[in-house]
Amino acid sequence: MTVYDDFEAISAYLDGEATTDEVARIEGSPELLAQVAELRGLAVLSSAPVSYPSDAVRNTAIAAALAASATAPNVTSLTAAKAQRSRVAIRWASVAAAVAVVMLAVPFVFSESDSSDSFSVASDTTADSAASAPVAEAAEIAGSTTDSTSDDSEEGLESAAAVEGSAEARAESDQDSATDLSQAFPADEATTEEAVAEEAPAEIAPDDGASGDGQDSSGIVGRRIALDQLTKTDVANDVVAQLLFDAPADPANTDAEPIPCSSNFGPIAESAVFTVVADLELLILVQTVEGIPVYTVLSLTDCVVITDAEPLL
Amino acid sequence: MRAAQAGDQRALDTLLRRHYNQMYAICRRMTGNDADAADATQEALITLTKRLDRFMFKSKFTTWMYRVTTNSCLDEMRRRGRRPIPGIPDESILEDDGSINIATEIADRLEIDAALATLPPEFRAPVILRDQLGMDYAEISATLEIPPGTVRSRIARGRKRLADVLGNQDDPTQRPNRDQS
Repeated sequence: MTVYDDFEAISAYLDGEATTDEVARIEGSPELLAQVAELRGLAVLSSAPVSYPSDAVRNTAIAAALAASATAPNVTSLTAAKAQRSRVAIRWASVAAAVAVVMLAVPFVFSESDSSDSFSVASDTTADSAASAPVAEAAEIAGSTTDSTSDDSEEGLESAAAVEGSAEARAESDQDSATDLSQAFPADEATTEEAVAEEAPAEIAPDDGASGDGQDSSGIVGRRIALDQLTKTDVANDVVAQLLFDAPADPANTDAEPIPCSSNFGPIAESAVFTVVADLELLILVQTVEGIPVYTVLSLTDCVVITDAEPLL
Repeated sequence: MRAAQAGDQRALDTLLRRHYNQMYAICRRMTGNDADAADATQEALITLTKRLDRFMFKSKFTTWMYRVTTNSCLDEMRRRGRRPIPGIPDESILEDDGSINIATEIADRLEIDAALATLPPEFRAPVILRDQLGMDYAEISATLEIPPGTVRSRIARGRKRLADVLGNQDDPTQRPNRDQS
C-alpha cells in the first residue's frame, strides 16, 4: 500500500516535528495514518539497540583516549614517540657540538676550583669570568643547532599533548636563538660551598630560589639538583618530569609504569649534580673524580647515556 | 566536565565511560560493523580528549560530543575509502541460546545495517541521530551544523530510501528477500 504522498510530513509527524497544519491533515486521513504506522515499523527497526563491545574493547579505547589527552602527565602518544625518534640523529649532532664546546670550557671552569672536593660543578663562583664566555658560546652553538631541527619536530610535538611542556620550552628557546647556557650553569650564583653541600643527597641547591618541591614548573630548568632528588613525584607535571618519564609507556594500559629513565643514572646518581639544558633536552652531569671533572651527557627524551666524557686535562 | 577539562584524569575517565555507549551506537550504525565501529569510536574518544580544552560551553556537551563522533566516523570511513560494510555482530550476541528470536534479531540488524549502508552519509547521519539517540531536529541541526529544515528533509529522504530497501515493516512477507536482492 506504500503511497507516501507526503513523506516528509509523515516522517516529521512520526518524530513529533510536524507543523500544526500537517498534524491536522495527517490525523484527518486514515490513509496517511496508515502510512505513519508503516513508517513507524521502519523507525523501530532502525532504532534497535546495537550490541556493545566487550569491556576490554571499551577499556582499551578509553585508555588510548586518556593517554592522548592534553593533560596526560606521564604518557606520550605513539605519534610523538615516533616524531622524537626521528629527531635522534639530528640531536646527536647537537650533543656532539655541545659536549665538545663544554669540554673546551673545562680548564677555565676548574682551574681555580678546589680539586680536593669530592665533586664540583661548573658553576663555581671562582670560575665565573673564565667559564661564562665559552659556556655561552656553547649555548649559541647548541641553540642554533636546535633551532635548525625544531621545525621538523614541531608538528609531531604539537600532536602530542603529553609533551606539550617540552614543546613550549623549545618554542621559548626558539625565540631566543642564543640560549644562555650560563643560565643552565648558574655560574654567578652557586658557590663551591654550595656544591660541596650537595654531597648530602637529600638537599637541593636553592640557587634560583625555587622551592624544590617540584611544584614550581619553571624552577627545574637551569637549577642544580642532586640526582637522587629527581623523582617522578617531586617533579610531576614539570618539563623535566615529562622529558624523563613520558616516553615508553603503553598508552593502551593506564596502569603501565613509564620506563624510569633515571635508572640510567646508576652509580653516579648519589654523587653528582646535573643541569638541564631545556632546549637540547639534555642532562649534563658534572662530577669530580679524584679532582678531575667528568662530564656525562644524557638524552632525556631517549633515556640513554649519549656519552661519558672525561675532559681533556 | 569542568574537572575533566581542568586536567582531572579520573573525571575524564568517568566522562568518557558515561558517553561511550552513545558514541559507539552512532559509530556502529554509521560504519555498519563492529570492528570499524570500535575503531571509529576510539578515534572519536581521542579527538574528544585532545579538543576538550576547546569546548567553550556554548552548546550542550552532548551536542558537541555527537558532532565530534559523527565527524570521526565519517573521517574513518573516508580514510578507509569505502562505504560501510554490514557485518555479523560480535559473538557476544550469539552466545545466549541461539533461539530463533536472536537469529531473527541478527537478521534484522544485518538488514538495517545493509539498508543504512546504502544511504549517503548526509542522509545516514541524521537518521541515526534521530532513531538511535532520539535526538530532536533542533539537536540534530546543532550537531550536524545544518538547518533544521534540512534535517527534516534529509531524515525523510533517508527513511524513504530505507523503506524502499527494507520494504513494508508491518508485513514481513513484503520485505525484500536478501537472497533475491
